[in-house]
Amino acid sequence: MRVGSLKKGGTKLINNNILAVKNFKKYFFTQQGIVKAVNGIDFSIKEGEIFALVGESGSGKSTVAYTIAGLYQPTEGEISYRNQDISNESKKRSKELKKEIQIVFQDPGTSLNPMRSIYQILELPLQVQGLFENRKERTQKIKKLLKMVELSEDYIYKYPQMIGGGERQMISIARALASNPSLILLDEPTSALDVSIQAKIINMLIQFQKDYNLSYLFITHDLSLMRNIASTVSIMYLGKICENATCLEFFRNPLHPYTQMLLSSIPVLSDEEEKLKPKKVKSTGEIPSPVNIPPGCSFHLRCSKKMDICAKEDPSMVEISKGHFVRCHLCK
Amino acid sequence: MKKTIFSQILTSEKWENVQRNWYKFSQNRLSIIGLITIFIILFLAIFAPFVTVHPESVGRYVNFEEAKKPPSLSYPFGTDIYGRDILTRIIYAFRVSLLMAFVVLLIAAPTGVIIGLIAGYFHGTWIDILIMRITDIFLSLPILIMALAICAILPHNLLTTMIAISLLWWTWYCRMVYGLVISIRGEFFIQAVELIGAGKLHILFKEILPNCLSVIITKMTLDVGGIVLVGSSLSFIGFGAQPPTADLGSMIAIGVKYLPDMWWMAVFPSIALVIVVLGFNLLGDGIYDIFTGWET
Amino acid sequence: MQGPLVEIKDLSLNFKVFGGLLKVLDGVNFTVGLKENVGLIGETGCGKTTTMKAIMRILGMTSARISKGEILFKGRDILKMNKAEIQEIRRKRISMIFQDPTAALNPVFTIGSQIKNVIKYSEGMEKNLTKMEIKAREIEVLRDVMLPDPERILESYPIQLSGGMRQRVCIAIALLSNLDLLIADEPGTSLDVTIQDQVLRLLKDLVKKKHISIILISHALGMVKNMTQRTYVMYAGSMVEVAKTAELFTNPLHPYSQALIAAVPKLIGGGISQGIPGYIPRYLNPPPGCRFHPRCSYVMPICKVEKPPFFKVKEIHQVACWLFKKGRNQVDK
Repeated sequence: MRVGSLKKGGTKLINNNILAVKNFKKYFFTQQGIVKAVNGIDFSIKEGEIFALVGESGSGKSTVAYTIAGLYQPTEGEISYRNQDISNESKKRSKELKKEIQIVFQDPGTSLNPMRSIYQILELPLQVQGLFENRKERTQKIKKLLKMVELSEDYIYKYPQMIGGGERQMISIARALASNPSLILLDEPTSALDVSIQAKIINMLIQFQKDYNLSYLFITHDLSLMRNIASTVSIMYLGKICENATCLEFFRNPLHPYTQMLLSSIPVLSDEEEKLKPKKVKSTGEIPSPVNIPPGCSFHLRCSKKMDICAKEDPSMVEISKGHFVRCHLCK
Repeated sequence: MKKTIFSQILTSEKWENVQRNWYKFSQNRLSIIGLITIFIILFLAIFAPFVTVHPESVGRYVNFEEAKKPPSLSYPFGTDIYGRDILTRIIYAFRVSLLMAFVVLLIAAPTGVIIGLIAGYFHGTWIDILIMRITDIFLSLPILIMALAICAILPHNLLTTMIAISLLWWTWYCRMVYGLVISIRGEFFIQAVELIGAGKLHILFKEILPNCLSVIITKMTLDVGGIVLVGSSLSFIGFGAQPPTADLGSMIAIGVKYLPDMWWMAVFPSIALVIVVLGFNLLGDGIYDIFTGWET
Repeated sequence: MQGPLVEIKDLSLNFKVFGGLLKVLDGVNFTVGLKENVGLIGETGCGKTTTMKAIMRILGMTSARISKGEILFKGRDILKMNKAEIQEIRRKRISMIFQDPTAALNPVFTIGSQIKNVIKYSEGMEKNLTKMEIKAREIEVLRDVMLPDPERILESYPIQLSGGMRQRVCIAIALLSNLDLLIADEPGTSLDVTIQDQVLRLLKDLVKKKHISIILISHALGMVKNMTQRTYVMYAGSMVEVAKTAELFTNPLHPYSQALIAAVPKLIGGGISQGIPGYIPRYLNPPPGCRFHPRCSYVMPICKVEKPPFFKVKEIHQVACWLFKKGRNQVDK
């Protein structure tokens, strides 16, 4: 079933939400058992906001991004973009939808085809979308894209192996911007990069967001980074969201024990930052595999504040204060 | 004017790439030996009529006065039982061997690669299963015996031998590319272009195939030696090029009967065969170094 | 034994590649004292790992050429040692753990057999241990790194363990003998942040307990701050600043150190810094003089011509920058 054509600004958004996810589940059926990568999550992204999805390995955050992008189909639940249901695979999606939602992958080493020149890599989305009529105009646009990411024009003759990781990631971002999308999914775009290059790229991303009114789903494990750019933060653990709040509220009052464990593990540089970290929570235990999710609350095996009910019953999401949701028996 | 500047810069980047590849290739002295050997063989094969002293030796020619003569100044490798110069015949035999190798590769490689691409891209579907089972059947047949069987039905000549070898040779390319495509398909850069909306043909031929080229080209270079060997084995037993055309295999076949007295009739063609195969193997190693060498 | 444990004096190293020489290391000066935790921070491509590999002499490729300098370990030049002496050092004196524990462990052998091999070739050579003693030692070593159920782990293959456990196994293997020095090259970078925290705390305790010196290399500055007493900052093949760790992070002096530390996002907010303009230099044709000068906002004419030596600003705080000549300890803006 093909999604109908989408006009930017033509559809009225409910609650200003560009993306809404309800009770989304994604299970993978393997020989070792059912991998419950995403096990029932709800969230929504407003137009023009940076939504941070934070989690460690096994949390399912990348699976969320890939499903929204169209690599997978949800096992259960709804995903809607501008109020249209998009829970079908990329192959069945319309060209307009592919233009609107773009993705930037984590590893700059493998997200660009080593046998294609930068010119060819950037030309592809323009060709597919049929945005320009002849090669000359496409070349102009490609040069403009390179200028946007502050790379010189002669990069069009280069190949990915000739340029550094930071520059490759900038090309990935330029490729994502080529089709004028509205929503960009960024899967840990700077985790593999040095901190000074990360600063450059993040600044660029923020500028683009302002210039083109983009919305970002920003996946990361770096809470310090999120503190500085996100408007809303969601923490994922083993396929479920444990806490969701606006950025300010989140850092002012982190409630979930896993959130506190995450915060206390971050290595920080200054003493004032050290004061912000929860003192008594030290990280313990291993992250369980998504094939063997513990019963009850999935975090109870590592939780220092666990109660009897935590081993038996899975808590539900509760709104503690306006916009601040927590999934924990302690916070009821 | 813009176009010429464009092509000027393009050439200088490409020229640098060429120089870099040459550097990687030349790090191993053996590869250079292989390259020189192949150049010499190619040169001799192409300019055979001009470099040989006794060009009549390749035709229907008999000269019993000069027959069975050991190596001398006028006949550096000696003469065979009909009085024909063996050196000249070896040089002309290079033509036959190389021609066979090139024709077989021209047919087998593209066929195998395309079939492998399709099977790999549709991995998991019936297309994949159908293609790979047929390939498995062909792979399980020993090449020499199959070539024999085909040559037994069709008339014995060079063309039919080449067809016979090609009919089996494509399977190796298919298998190899199939495995490559399956692993490349899962890479992020392929998924990225799928999400952008590129069509299947584009992905297969413009995104996946270039990543397989290094392996394909290396294999083709090494295969020349292999095909020459198979062709020579077939002509050793009577198939392939027919008399009086000079062919390394048949020369060895005849020469073997006259060992050890008239050793030159078997030994020189054998050494020539070894040099051809070895030369291409060394060249193939060097080409492999280009593709897998370090990027500075 | 007096004097530092490791002393690298003015080390320069080149790689011969297509197009000429990659002048990777350019006069590296680096010391590690006894029982001292030293950090080495710098970004990708600055030469940190190359320097460490030079100490262990595991540079591998024959295209590496040391053009000058010495590496003194306990007073003796490592670069002049013969094969037997180097083997001795690698077996008993210096050990290294790497960033990716999965790549450091052989996937087709069990953990037990890998540890057994290391024991056999280190202590086993001298003491002639029996099978039982080796097994007991294996279990002891795994308990040291807080791994639960050591017997089961000895029977497992690396792929059956989690990332954190593999890193602990690597640490266990590295700490088998009575080392003097442990080199940790970005340990924990490939691990999740909660697991990384545990592993680093463990490493800190072990190093303290066993009185080992450690060189901790990282591009994650926060990791280094928690674990070291003194830290070097490296850029494009040479050290640009060294100071007590706390001092370095509160008062960085070299323009590069300042920009680097400012680029780390802070938990208290405050936005993202601009980063550092430009890129790291190409080693084929590095800029003359101070290699940072093309990107430096305080560049002076002398910076483009002559490479600055270390200037002493405080007791342990030294900066390789012309701004600090004649004992100035503030940057005049």
